Amino acid sequence: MSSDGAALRAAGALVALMAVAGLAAWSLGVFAAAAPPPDGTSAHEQTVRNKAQDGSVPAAKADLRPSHEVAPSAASSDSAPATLLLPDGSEVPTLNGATGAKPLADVWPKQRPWSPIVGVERSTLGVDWYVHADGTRTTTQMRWRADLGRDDALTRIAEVAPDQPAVPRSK
Amino acid sequence: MKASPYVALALLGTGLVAQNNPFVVFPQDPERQAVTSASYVRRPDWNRQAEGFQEVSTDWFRGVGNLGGAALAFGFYHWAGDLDALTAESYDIILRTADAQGQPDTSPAGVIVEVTNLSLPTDPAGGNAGWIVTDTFATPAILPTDATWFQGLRLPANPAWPSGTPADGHSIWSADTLSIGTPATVGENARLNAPPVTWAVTANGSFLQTEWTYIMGTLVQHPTMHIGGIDPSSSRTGSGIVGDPSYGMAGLFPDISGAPRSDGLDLRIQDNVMPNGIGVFFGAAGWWNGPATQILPFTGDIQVDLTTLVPIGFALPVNGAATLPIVTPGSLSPALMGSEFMFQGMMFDPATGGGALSNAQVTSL
Repeated sequence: MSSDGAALRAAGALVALMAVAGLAAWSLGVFAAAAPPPDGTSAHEQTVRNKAQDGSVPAAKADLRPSHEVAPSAASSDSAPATLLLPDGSEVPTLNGATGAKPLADVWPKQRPWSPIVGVERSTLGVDWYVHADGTRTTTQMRWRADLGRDDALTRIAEVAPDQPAVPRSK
Repeated sequence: MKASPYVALALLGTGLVAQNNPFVVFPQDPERQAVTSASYVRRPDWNRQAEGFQEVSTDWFRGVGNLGGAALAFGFYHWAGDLDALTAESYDIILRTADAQGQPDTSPAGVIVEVTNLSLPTDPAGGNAGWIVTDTFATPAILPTDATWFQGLRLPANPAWPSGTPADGHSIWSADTLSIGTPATVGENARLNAPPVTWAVTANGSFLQTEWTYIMGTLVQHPTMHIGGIDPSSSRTGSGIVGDPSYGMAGLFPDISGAPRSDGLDLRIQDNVMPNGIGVFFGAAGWWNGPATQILPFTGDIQVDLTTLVPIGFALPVNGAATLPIVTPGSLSPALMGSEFMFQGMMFDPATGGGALSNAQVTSL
């Protein structure tokens, strides 16, 4: 069979399936609103709640202010944006001199409710991170990309996960 | 690697879609489920420097990153362990092509994209910490559309892992196979003779095939589809549900030997881009090896054989994930051992009539 013929056959089959699916959706009327999580709480959210409850993650703004707070590092003087659009519509400066980073509004995890920034921490490797009320850290950085032949920005998110044991030595 | 005019079109279009999906091979959905199937946190070569890879073999997967004529990586996702959160741990993102032997190509020409000297955050609370890390590129990288490749991380040596004083070091959440024989009661549930799907490239350039999967994967902008293996006697996912579908290696390599397992199958499609679409599934008896074929107005290329393509059904997603049982446990004859069937999905948008095709995956019986 030629690829054109095969493609037409596939298209026909899929169109028929689409029609069935569309009719079912219409009759059920279930596509007007977003489907909520099964219990209304994402696994991530529950994880963070658990961590906050056992005291291993600061859960309030006041917990985040002491000695780790630093001023955000200045961005380089590139024409690309040196601000970071947040999911709540506000903007903050990018960190670590990054320009052109993807907006946090675009990459904040869909399963996680937005959590506001409550401080800035500098890691032991000198990287500045925004600290969010739920313990999430976010930052921006420039890194060399050989595939592009230039530096390129990253928008980075570190959500709190549970602890997990390391593998036994024998394996 | 195939670079085409479609690449430019796809790059132009990247500003139109914001959310990404991680392409992860693991028993559970780390974005939407409480992860209970992780056996341990692991490093690819104990506490030595190494690169750890998930193989994206064309024997097993097609269309990962494919947006229609081109395939793009938008970043990388992984679940990290850090035994001492007071100190930051560095790592590199590394995606490689395959060499002539099918191993990761460690030559400079084998690098698809490499981002070095990234690091985990620190936490003043210290102690054993876990981080779900999403690193999003401002500019996507171009992936192979028609060749095997490898997705992974490079971790530096850390003698303090896992039992230094204090213990320290970066590791990745992992799920052990049955054949590795660790005490883990949860993890992967492929049949015992399943081939490994992950690799380590050691500091001296040697290769190890590793008997576990990781929670890590490339960020893509199409729906991701995985096949679940259903073993009614298994509690390997740790969810508390015996027979819970396992979407990593158990779907790639189910056990239908009848001695004693006779696994069932289901299909799962996930999408953060269109979480309220309709998950549509179709299958075929092989891969599509003809020219790149799109079905307009849907994004992405058909990856399964058009001449044997059969619509399977549809399912409604909850929070961006939809599943469809397709084979009841006990119903596949052992006579089918050695057969392969390919599946692909699509997230259909009933509001616009558009949609996006997923990657495709084989189940190798």
